[in-house]
Amino acid sequence: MLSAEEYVRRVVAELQSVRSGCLTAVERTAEAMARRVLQGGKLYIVDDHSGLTSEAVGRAGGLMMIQPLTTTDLGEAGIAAPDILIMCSRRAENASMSILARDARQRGVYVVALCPSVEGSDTLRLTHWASAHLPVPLDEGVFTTSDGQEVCPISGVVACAMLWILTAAFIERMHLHDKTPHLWRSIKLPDSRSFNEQAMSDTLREGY
Amino acid sequence: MLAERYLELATGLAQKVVQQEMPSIRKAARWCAQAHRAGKRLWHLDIGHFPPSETAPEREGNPGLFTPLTYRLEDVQKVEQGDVLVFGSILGVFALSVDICQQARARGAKVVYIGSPVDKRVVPPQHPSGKRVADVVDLVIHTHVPYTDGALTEAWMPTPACPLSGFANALVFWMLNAEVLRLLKAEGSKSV
Repeated sequence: MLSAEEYVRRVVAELQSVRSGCLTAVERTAEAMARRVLQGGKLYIVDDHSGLTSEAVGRAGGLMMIQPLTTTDLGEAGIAAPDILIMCSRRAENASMSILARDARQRGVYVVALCPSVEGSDTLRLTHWASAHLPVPLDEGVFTTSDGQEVCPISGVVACAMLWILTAAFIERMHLHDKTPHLWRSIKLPDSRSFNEQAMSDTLREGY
Repeated sequence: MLAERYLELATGLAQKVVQQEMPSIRKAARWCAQAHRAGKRLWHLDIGHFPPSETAPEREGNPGLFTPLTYRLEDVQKVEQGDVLVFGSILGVFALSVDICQQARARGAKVVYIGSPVDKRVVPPQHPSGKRVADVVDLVIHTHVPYTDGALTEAWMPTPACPLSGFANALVFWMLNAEVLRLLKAEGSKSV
């Protein structure tokens, strides 16, 4: 039934399925990421215009160490083992993202795919190449209009939550290794400027 | 575990929005449906990190009710009497945000704010008038995120971690779309 409440009910159901089905995978992925960072790995993120790179980079409460991947030439960018690449896609069947994931894996990069699950293992599916896959809902609207248009997707908001769930687990894993990563403080807080300058300086020195 | 706690907070926030904000969402939806029916325009501007891409007109599943407005004062000239502007921002304390919302209202539009305004003593507004966005709009839909934006706090954390505002603002945007579509369908709009 078309309503705001039904939209939220669907989002909450997806979040509950993340809780019952994905938290173990999230923790395992976060630990693998932390171990790579402890070996000197850098953390990158890329998306298919879904906004998750913008959400993660330079964000209050987010990781200072995370960088947007701005090229497909990983060699030129010097991206290789033990680096990490988080790849966010609304579709698992995504040729350009799959090729990038393949190239990254061939260079020893740990690739985390945030995308829907799909059947099979076609090489043009992002999940085929990922080191770890954290599933998000299929990118389709919750409601269907009379002209057949599916509207009001839940995939974006659930993927956004999944990104921060993974980040939370990573922060905790790094802390357990006695290497708490530096975070951005909201620029609206009075002491944010000096805090962020110091934290960025520490991030550049320590790598996390 | 922090991951599980974030998940609980995101779930709780979604439920809290339903429990506490439905009257405001329904009111905003009525204004939007009324404007849409009258051939007026619905504008959307969110200055967050995630919402601009998630709510873009070309995003699959966007029913196209809203037209994006850019974060420039000149762009408010497009807003006309009878339109509705839905403005998203975490705290709504930037001077330009206040100016945009004030001008849109002065031009005869209804202005709806999606965000989490806090006491001015906690986060001082940057507008010379001392006003926040919440002080100059017709309606606030509260997203209930912490003013630090980070949802997770631990004694060992240098600052609160993992924001909720991107999730919250996108959630409310889609809720509002669903409610406007429901009203239009109830009124017999052919395309809904």
